[in-house]
Amino acid sequence: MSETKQVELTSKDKVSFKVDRDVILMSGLVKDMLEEGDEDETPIIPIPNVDSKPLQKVIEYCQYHHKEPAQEIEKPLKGKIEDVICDWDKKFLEIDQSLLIELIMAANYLNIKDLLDLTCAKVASMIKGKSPEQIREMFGIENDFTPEEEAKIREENKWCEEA
Amino acid sequence: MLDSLPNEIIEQIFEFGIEIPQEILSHSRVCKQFYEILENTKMWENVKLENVSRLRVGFRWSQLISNPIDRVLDTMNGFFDRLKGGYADSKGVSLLSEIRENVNMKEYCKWMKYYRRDKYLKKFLSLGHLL
Repeated sequence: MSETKQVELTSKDKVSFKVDRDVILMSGLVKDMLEEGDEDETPIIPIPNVDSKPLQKVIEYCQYHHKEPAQEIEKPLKGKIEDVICDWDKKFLEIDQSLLIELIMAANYLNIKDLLDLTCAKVASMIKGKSPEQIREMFGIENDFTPEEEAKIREENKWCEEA
Repeated sequence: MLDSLPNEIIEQIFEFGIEIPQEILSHSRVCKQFYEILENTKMWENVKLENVSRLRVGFRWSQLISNPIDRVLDTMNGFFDRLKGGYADSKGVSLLSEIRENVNMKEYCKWMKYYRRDKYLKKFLSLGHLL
């Protein structure tokens, strides 16, 4: 029985992951690199833009969806994302926000469309129905108005608030 | 954190539709970034209609801080021009029809009050039979 060909990915923080070649071919970037490179037994591919934590999640995603192709997520999303994705994806997205953002960047860099769609749809879904304070807290958006500026703007735009 | 994402990613997020409260859009950097992306990608249909008018207000709020009103009106004029021109041909008709059916007219009239002297707004509203 022939052994499955593997690829070694090295993250930004120098952690190596051995992955089946067929699995990681879900990444457009890796696919292009493998096509360009020599037929090494286990090619080493540096992923200098992605840390080990998000890279591990990316691999986890590819290992599952390599066998179970992801369903397309409707655009625009009509309800909650949880209503349109599979249980595995729901569990997969139970991560903190900073990792979610890193995962988006990783999916974009590695060119994995289904993962990029999943993570972006998650963010879109997170924004829905939230108050400005919740969104500011959630995404680390600082209110860049000084209290004086804000008071001035509110005064100038009172007409807009009056029902 | 959201405003640390590059525009290409925010565009992807927009494709799934968004609901952004006015106050967030008043945050000048985020607002400007969102507004520019919406302008460039023509994804207005992915933003709840209510938020389209909020978006304009939000943009104006932030712009008022550092820019004279003329600059804001220039931006508004650009938007109306598109409604009258190419954009109106494909999306504007349904957008105007949605405005007629869904917009809180009282709120809209207040918005109009501010811009009542603007010829482009008058033209836009007349296109939608709102005047």
